Amino acid sequence: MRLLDVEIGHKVRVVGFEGSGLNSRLLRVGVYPGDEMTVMRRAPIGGPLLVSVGGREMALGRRVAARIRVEEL
Amino acid sequence: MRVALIGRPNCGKSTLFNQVAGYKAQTGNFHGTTVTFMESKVRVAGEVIDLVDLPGTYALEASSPAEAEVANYLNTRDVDAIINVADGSRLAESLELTLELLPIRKPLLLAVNMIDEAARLGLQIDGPGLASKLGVQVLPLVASKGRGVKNVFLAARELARGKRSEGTRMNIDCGEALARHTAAAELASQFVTQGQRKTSWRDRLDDVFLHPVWGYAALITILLLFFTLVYGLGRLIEPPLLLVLQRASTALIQPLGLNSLFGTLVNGTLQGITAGTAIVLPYLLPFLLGMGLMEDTGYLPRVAFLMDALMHRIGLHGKAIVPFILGYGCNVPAVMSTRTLEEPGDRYRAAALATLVPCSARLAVVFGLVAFYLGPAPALLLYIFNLFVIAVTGRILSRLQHDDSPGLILEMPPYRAPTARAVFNKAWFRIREFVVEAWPALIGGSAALALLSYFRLDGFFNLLVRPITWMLGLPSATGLPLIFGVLRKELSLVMLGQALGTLNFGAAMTPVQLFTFTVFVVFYIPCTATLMVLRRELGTKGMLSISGITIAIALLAALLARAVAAVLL
Repeated sequence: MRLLDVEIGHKVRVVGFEGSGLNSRLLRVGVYPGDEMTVMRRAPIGGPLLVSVGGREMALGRRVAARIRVEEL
Repeated sequence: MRVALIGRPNCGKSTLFNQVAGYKAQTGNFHGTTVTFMESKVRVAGEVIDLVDLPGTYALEASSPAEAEVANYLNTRDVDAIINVADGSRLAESLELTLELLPIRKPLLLAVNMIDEAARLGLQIDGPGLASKLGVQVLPLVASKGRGVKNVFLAARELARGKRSEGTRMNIDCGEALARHTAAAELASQFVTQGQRKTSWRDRLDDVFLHPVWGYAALITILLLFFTLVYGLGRLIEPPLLLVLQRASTALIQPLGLNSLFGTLVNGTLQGITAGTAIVLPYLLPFLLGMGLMEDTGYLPRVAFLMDALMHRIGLHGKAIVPFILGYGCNVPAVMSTRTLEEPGDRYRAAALATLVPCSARLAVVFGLVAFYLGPAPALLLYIFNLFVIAVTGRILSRLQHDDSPGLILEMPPYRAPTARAVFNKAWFRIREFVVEAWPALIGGSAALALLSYFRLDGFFNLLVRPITWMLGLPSATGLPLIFGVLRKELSLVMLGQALGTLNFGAAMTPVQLFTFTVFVVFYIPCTATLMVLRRELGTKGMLSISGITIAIALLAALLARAVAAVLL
């Protein structure tokens, strides 16, 4: 499933990223496949998601979140 | 002796640098690139060392030009010791970079910063254990409060002198990013124990600031407060400042004779200096201080989060909101702030759109011409029209540029109390950068224009701009004020009085002409100071293309405004 479809408060594990451009950008900020993520908030009207990953919080735009494959824990 | 600071973004590396760097700190460039670092001489126990603050780096493995430069620098230049600043509250992530630094044959020291933050989160770090495992010294640090700073630099000096023998460094195969990620996580789980987490008011702040309703209410309140304070401060400083400068230049020019060639030249030069000062003190300084404050508290990333959806409509993402907010004060810090965007395409578009935002100088023209002669409604209409033009331009530019940006990926740092020293130092560095970059152009341009009008070439100016003024149905005499406006936008208003021979613009120009003129002034070429900053951030090509785009937009917008105004006014 896509990270975009995960509900608030749910914990998931990152399976992979779609598209090469995104891959390098996320690895650069230290988000890797296998990492556990919790969706904390969603901004209204098509805004980004706030996720907690590795003890810190990151804002991910919807286009980014739509390309992150995750599995439910 | 040269010591380099390296660490991930938001690890407090620059806070550490600002704690010890003097006002003489210099911005340096990596050879042949625009990637910059800061350098300062620092006195450590009677000895002066060169301290280099490298750009925030997630990994040495180059995925961005900045990171490639950092890696090169550490390997080749004469760096005597490396201080790796780690964020103690997120040690696992920080250690990824440390693992990459270990194989470099340079004295290395790990400064674990923000241990107060870590303690608040209930994290206990076994420093000695980590040190013996890594084979490098590990020291605690709270850079924002100045705790542990001295120890870190004393230790770095000892290392650089080779006085302290290092242990055997941990040897891991860390060619792969994923391998480093796993190894770092393992290290962290070994040496960091999670205790009871104390929840404080800081954790609850985002419940308000990122709330779908209250978040936006807070944003509007904070921005209103920000602009009121900053504009208020500017308005307080500007009139007495201009008065002093004017008196000084009158006193200087009187003995020379205003109509002599030399007098004209001096007058032009002084006008350039006045323009430079009138930008820096009343506008740039308050805005940079205000921005530094918002940056260091951690609020700016929240603004980016809230505004991301809206910014997507104009082909950008949330991080690009900052140049827009700043643009309403002054385009100069706005363009400077585009530096934080990763993709060159985003940077270019954000800078181009930011120059279309009516700054406080253009606000003066809108007030002096439209609001004064035509009333507040047309002035408001002009601001709304401006937003519309920015939105359309953004959409067109992102279509043309083939948008390859994946979108917003932004770390939300915890809220932090800013320190006065860091905020002031940052504002000071940026202002100095601006003065060095823009003042020569401002003063030179001003002197050149004074000379040209001395030789009675204003007719030539008017002729030069005549195609534009003719197209817009403006009096030919408005050409000169338009050219002067490039130096400083409100000069368009000042010079208009001289050009028309009256200060009652309502009598010399029709309402439609006043409106059209103002719209053109709002959009055409950014002022000289902004141009110089554009060149610094985007290169000469970027500066020229943005100038061209703004002239085209100004023409189209003014033509449209002329047609609309003819119907409405």
